[in-house]
Parts: sequence; C-alpha cells; structure tokens
Amino acid sequence: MRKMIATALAAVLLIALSPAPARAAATTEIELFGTTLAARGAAVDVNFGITCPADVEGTATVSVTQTRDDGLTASGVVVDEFSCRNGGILNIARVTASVLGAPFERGRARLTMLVTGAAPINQNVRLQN
Amino acid sequence: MRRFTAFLAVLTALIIGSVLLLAPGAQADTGPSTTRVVTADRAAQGERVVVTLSATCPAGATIKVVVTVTAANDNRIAQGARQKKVDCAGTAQPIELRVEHNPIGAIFIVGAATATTVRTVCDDSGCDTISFDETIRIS
Repeated sequence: MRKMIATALAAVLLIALSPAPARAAATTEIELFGTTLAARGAAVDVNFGITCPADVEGTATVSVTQTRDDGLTASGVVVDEFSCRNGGILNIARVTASVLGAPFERGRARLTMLVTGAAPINQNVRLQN
Repeated sequence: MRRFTAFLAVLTALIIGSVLLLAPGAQADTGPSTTRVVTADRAAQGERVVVTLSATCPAGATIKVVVTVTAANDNRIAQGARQKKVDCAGTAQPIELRVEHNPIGAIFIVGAATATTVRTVCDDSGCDTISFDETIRIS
C-alpha cells in the first residue's frame, strides 16, 4: 500500500512538472538592417532581424512615413506574421505606399515597428535605392 | 502485485495521454502551394491591369487569391485589387484577374510595380492563408 501511495505521488509530481516549459525572462529584440525602395517608390522593403531567446509567434507591424522634398506625404503600413524559433529570424516586410499619398523617394523617413514581445522602435531611417 | 501492475499501466496511459493532449495544435496542413505573377498587362488606358498568375495547390483543394497591384505614377499612387476562387488541379494552373484601379488614386502606367498575392488554400482539414509580395512589371 505504501509503495502504491509513493508511486501515485511520483506520478502526480511527474505530470505537474514535466510538460510546462518555464517562461524565459530574456526578451525579444528587433534589429533593423536597412530600408530600400522597390518598384519606383511604390513600396519600401524593411530588412530586420528578430532575436528571441524564447520561441515566440506573433505579428510585426511596420509603418513608414515620409515627407518628400516636394512637400507631399508618402506613407504605408504592413502587418506580417512571424514565427521566431531557435534564437532568431531574418525578415523582410514590404510596406506598400498608401493610395491616398505619393510614392516614396530617396531620403529620410520615419519608421515605426511594433513586434510581439519586443520594445517598439520609432526612429529616422534613410530610404535607399 | 497484479493490482500494482494494473495501476502502473493506467498511470502510464494517463501520462502519455496528457502529453499528447498538451502537444501544440498544428495548423491545418493543406499541402504545398505557390503563386507567382507571370504577366501584368496594362488595359483600358491604364484603368486596369490584367494579371496572370501561375498557381499550384493540391488536387481536391480550393484556392482563393487576392491580388493587389500598386505602382507609382509620377507623384501619385495607382492601386487596385481583385480576388478569385478556383478549384485546384494539382498542377500549375493559370489564373487571370482583371485588376481595376482604385479611382481615388492614379491610373496604371507601364513600368515597375509591386504585387501582393494573398492565397487561402482550403481542403477538408481546414484552410491555410499565405501572403506573398513580388516586384512585377506592367507592360
């Protein structure tokens, strides 16, 4: 009888401890590599990496806004799904220009990125050919 | 002793069951599929672009494609979208879509453009949705 109780206790412990992976304290981070114009400014390709000490799935929202030399505004936003495993991934998000605005051109622009589990990025970038 | 063995067997079954139940639910697996823009021809004085896709998806499934074409026209943007649903043949099949321009924007002109194709492939097991961007040429 005592053996049975011991076995039952061991089983309860096994079930309680085994399948729940601990949530790592380390955080997901975004690294921006570059922003290039595509299709004569109809879109901007945003190259970035995500490092994830713990596996993460979620969305990356990328927004680019530019005030052109002629004063017109070009802007766009894209939401991409990603799945980050084994430490990190590389990604390209294509931000298409809004039909209400102008095409993107070479030069300064404002980039905002929201990635699941990571601190948001909001910085000036250079759009290149 | 026999009772103990039975108890152990039940225990093992319970543990295996819990592990199986807790395994992450896999997404619907509808099999491999692709889409690619083959041609994009300007039509109706730029009011429209006729896009031909080459699509592959497993026979027996259905594929819905939503194609959005965006292009620069001087200092304005030309954009249009169109969707179509067809049955999969199991081999590469052409899908033609007549993409009308959004009247808020400019008309299409010949040259580089970007195309976003969102495909939803469905079969008995469920649906998979995949988005694909490519640079194309309107001619």
